[in-house]
Amino acid sequence: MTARIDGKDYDIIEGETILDIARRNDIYIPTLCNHPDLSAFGGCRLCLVKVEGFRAFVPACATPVQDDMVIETTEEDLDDLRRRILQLILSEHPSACIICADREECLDLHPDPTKAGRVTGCRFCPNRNECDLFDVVKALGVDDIWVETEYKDVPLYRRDPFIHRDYNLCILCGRCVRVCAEIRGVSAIAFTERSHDATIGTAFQGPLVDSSCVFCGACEDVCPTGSISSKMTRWVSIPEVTGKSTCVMCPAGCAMDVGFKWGRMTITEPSEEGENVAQACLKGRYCTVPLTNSKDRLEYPRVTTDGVLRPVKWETALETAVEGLKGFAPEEIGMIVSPSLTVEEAFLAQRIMRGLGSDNIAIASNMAGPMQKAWGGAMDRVAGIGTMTDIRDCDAVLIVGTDLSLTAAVTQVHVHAAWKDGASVFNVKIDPRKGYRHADVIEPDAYGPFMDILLEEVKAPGQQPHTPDRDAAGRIASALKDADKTAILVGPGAFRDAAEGTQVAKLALELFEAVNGTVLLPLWDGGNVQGVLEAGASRCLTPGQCIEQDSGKYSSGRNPLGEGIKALYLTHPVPEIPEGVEFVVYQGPFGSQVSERADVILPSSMFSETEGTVISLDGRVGSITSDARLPNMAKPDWKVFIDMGRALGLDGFDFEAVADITEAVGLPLEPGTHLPPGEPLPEGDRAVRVDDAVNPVGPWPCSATRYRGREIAEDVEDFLEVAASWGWDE
Amino acid sequence: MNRIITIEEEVPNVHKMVIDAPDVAKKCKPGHFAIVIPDEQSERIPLSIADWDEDAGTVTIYFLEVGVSTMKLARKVAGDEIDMMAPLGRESEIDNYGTVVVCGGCYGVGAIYPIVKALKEAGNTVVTIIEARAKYLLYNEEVLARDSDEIYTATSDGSHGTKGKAQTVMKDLVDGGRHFDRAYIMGCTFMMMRNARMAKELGIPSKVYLNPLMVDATGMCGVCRCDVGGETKFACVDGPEFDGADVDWEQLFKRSAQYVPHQTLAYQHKKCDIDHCGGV
Ligand SMILES: Cc1cc2nc3c(=O)[nH]c(=O)nc-3n(C[C@H](O)[C@H](O)[C@H](O)COP(=O)(O)OP(=O)(O)OC[C@H]3O[C@@H](n4cnc5c(N)ncnc54)[C@H](O)[C@@H]3O)c2cc1C
Ligand code: SF4
Ligand code: SF4
Ligand code: FES
Ligand code: FES
Repeated sequence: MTARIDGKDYDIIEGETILDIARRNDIYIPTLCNHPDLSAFGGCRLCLVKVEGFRAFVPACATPVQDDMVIETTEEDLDDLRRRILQLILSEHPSACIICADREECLDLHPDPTKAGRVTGCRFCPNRNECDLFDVVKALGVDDIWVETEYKDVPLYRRDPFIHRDYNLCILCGRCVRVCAEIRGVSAIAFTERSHDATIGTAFQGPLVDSSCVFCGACEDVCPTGSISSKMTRWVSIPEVTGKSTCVMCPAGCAMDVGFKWGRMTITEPSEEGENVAQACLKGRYCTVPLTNSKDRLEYPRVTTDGVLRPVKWETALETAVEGLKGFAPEEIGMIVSPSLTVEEAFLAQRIMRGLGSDNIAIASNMAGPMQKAWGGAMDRVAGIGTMTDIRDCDAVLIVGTDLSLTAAVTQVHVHAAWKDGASVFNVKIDPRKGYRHADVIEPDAYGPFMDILLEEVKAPGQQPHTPDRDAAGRIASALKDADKTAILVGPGAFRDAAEGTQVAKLALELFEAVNGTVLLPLWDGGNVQGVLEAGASRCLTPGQCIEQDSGKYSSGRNPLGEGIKALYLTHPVPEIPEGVEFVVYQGPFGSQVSERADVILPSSMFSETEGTVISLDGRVGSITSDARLPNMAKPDWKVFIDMGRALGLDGFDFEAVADITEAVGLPLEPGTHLPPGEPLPEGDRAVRVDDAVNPVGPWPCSATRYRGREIAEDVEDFLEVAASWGWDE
Repeated sequence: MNRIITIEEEVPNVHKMVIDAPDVAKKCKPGHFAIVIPDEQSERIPLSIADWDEDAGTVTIYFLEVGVSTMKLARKVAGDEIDMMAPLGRESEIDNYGTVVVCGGCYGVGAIYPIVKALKEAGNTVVTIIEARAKYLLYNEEVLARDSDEIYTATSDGSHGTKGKAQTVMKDLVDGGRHFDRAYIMGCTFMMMRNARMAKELGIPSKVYLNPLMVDATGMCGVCRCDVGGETKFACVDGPEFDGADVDWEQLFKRSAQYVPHQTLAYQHKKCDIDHCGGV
């Protein structure tokens, strides 16, 4: 099948529109309301084209192309019409700068937008360096407006957290409305009527915070004008340096486009390239920058003298740490590894401990221990099965122990895609927090017993007397069994108690096998738990999750927060320093109540300031890059570990660059690829591969509202407002 | 502390504020400015005195919201108190020159009024030109018309008056045979630069009102340094009125850009307590 466009023939792909085929072949048709990820709207009429045999012009974005169609996209009368349509749009937009004769000189002399309250022209507009509206103006060559211009004079919405809205700039393309409903499954905003004018807003024009809005920023990203912008970064304009990175605020591992200016991180935006399909959540999109630029960072190495933490040179801090640690026997030293470290950093951390002869290493995660215990015996590696994008093809989705509001929030995008295709979605959770609106929510009293019932209902349905939990379990069981493909996601809420967590993890795996599932993913309570496990930074593991417990190489495999520990090397705050601990080294970007008690403080990086690799909850390898200047004397964690390893006189620390460490880890860490899934072992081979030495330490405070132990709300007040309104304020 | 008597958004993003300040009102002269401190955590910002009323004991200020301090100011309501130091700066040079052209843009449309009035009182024929990007951003036309012999408007989009800027009208008038003995130009830096250049081209001596960043406004800190006629001047005590032809505009733009990173990043941490309209 072919169509003829502007005199040339092109092959048609089944189901595509005239706009699709044109875009595919680099034929320019102006558009405003269309967005490639969203359904056609046909509202702006800029994409009108001429089709032979049609009496009127047709919108290219909403017209399916047919065999033998003859299409004209460039005739002069078409461009005239498009120009007049565009001028009408501009007449209700603050357009003076668009057609101002001094535009270029003025914008050159004001390279950054003026930080106005109301945007009354491009010079003041946060969107001015990536404006779809102006691109169309240029393409059509509009330098005049034939109708009287008008300022809408509608109120600004500037009290909401994170997002600033100025609908005086809005051209009513509806992209924001569609992304919110179609991609995010939230539908917080819609076209509404204010007196006689159509506008965009929440129901009753209330604040976003009172709506179903999840502050993901998707609307800002698709808006072709400056109507929707980030309050914190709207005036930063284009970055000086851009890069591709990965978010570590949660384990979803969203691919991010990051920007730096004036030596600081200034923007994070979801990238097209990851599994997150150009989507992110409020933590990655809006909290990373203010957290990185927090006024409260640890900036100087410090050493306690006479009971006071005093700033010192790096050498002094390292010497003090070395002297302190060497004063204890290996089995008396413990280390807490932060799940926010990169694979390379975690690798160096465990190398320090093993170099000292100690295996007392634990990850600051409530899930890591129970998961190792529950899945470690039944799988070749502790890891999920399937990927986040595989969820899209599932017919039944079960989410246990989280609501996807602040943990792996972006997976909701895939869950919603599945729901739109008819999947049933169940959310078993205990906390009454904001969740996915289309989910069938079940709130049992406890996770363990409910999962037991669920498994029973899968294996032998309807044998037991009715109870509300059993009925709900029956509903889920029959949906899971009926489904061709099922996804089971297990989240941190079920792991606040280690024993229950272990039980839930075991039952989830059994359930997965019983229903012959497709996707089984641990929604870890930390950005890089998977990567830290792969790096071998946990007792009894070596890189690649090989078991070392019987090798006899290490003096002990104790709980680093348990008895007999006298010196602690912390890279993550612990709830409290256990009694009996005499010496504490604290390494991290933020202080905490325990850093106050440290003997040595080593100021380090946020993930946004380091380099290396992280691994998402579905095994995707993400790379981290940065161009940020660290606050004062702080250094990236990997450099601190190298310095520490050398200061301790250990072998294996002569690395110059992160890439050398990546190589030393010895895993297939190719960015964008997935590590192999955790394959269930055949029934006969199963063995308890991890014994009680891997008792979890903790419980650790809720990770959903923290980064590396730091409450995000301490640096980002807007986060507090949102989290509290969702019930995360315990 | 000074009480705000009225405050309103005159046109989008331009706010008019009348402040109770009897002592200041007694001493004001055309060309003077005030230092305003919106709240305890705020920076000190210079704003021109746009009018005063000795009897009522008030002064009037027009300001644009362009950053953190003006954002805070714009969120104030009648009855709120601010700190104000005024009058500051040197009085404007006013005499009977014959025919003068007065150009106002952005906040200058409001703040040029005392100069128009004084020029008129001194016996000049006053031709006033005000500019804005669009009709809906024009204000104060009637007030200025009262003390002007002629008044013209210009808009970038042509929605009112001449399509173009104040300098477009100035040139049109001179091309049409008008003669001006002096030009007075007040507005944003870009507007003043463009108009001062045009005045120079047309052979009209001009006065401009420089608006660099200021800190103490008493000639001590040096933040307001400007290059005028090859000499370093402190805008707060040597100005803000200077000869437009002598100003090193490029330098002025460069210096004001110097603090942009600091001013912009402030949005991530400073918050307007009044209604959280700012950063975090
Ligand atoms: C003598 C004098 C008189 C002034 N009179 C007035 C007045 O009557 N009304 C008024 O609105 N402003 C006036 N200004 C300018 C005013 O002082 C600044 O706009 C104000 O300090 C900005 O403070 P901020 O913290 O809100 O913004 P900041 O964050 O400090 O600055 C915001 C941004 O705006 C730029 N900027 C600064 N001044 C201007 C300007 N005038 N126009 C456009 N961009 C600017 C800065 O370079 C910066 O990029 C005057 C300045 C001087 C020196
Ligand atoms: S959205 Fe902003 S940059 Fe784009 S045309 Fe409008 S004012 Fe200019
Ligand atoms: S706010 Fe932006 S995306 Fe939404 S309708 Fe208006 S212009 Fe379009
Ligand atoms: S892009 Fe087709 S109607 Fe808007
Ligand atoms: S403001 Fe400090 S010298 Fe002028």
